[in-house]
Amino acid sequence: MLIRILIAASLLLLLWVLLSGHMDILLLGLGLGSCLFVAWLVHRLALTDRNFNTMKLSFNLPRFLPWFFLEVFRSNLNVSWKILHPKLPISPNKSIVSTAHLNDTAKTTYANCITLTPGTYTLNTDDESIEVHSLTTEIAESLQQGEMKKRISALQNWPGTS
Amino acid sequence: MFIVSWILLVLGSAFCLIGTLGLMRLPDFYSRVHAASIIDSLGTILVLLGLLTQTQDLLVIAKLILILLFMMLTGPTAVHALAHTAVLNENDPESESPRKQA
Repeated sequence: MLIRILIAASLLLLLWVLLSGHMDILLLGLGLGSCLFVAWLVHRLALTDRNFNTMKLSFNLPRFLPWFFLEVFRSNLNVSWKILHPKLPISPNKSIVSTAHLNDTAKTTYANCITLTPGTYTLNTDDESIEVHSLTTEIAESLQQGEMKKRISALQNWPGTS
Repeated sequence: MFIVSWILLVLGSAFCLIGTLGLMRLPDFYSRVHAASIIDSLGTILVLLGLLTQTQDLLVIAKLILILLFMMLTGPTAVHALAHTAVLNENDPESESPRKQA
C-alpha cells in the first residue's frame, strides 16, 4: 500500500515540477508535502486500491487515437457544414446504443468518445446501453453501425486481458 | 513554423466562430449542445496546437499539452452533465424541437 502512495506522490511531484518550473528547496519542499498529503487523501478514498485496466488500455491507444482524431475532425466538418448551411438541414433525434459486452473502463471511454465527437453526445447511461442524442439521423445511423464500438472493444480485448 | 502556427490559430478561431454561430442558429437546447462541442473539440485543439508551435520553451509546451488533455477530459464531462440534467428535468429532445422532419 505504501508503495502505491509513493508512486502516486512521485507522479504528482513530477506534475508539480512541470507546472512550477522553480527548483529551489522551499518550493520543492512545499510541493513534496502537498503531494504526499494528496496521495494519502486519494489512498483514503480507496482510489488506488481498485484494479483498473488502464495499462492494458494504453498499449492499444496508439492504434485507436489516430482513427479517433480523424473521426473527430470529419464530424467537426460535417456539423460545421450543417450549421453554415442556409437551410439548417438537421433532424435531432435520440437513439440507444447497446454496450452490453463492454467492461466499465470501455463503457466510460465509449461514452466520452461519443460526446467528444461533434454531432453526437451521451444523454444517459445504464448497465447495458447508452442513450445518445444525434444532430441528424444520418449521424445516428453511422453510430449504430458500430465502427467506434468495434474499435473500443478491440481496446479492451488486448491479448492477455479478460 | 510561424506560418503553420498562424494557419492553425486562424482555423481554430474559425471553428470557434462557427460553433458560436451554431449556438445562435440551432433551434433548441439539445441541438445547441452539438454546436458547443465543436468549440470544445476542434476549436480548442487547433488553437492550442497553434500556440504549441509558437514556442520552444519545454515548460510552456508541457503546460499547453496538459491544458489540451484537461480540456479533452472536462469538455465531455460538462456536456454530459448539462444534457443529463436536462433529461432528468424531463425536457424531451424530440417534443421540444420545432424541426421534426426525419
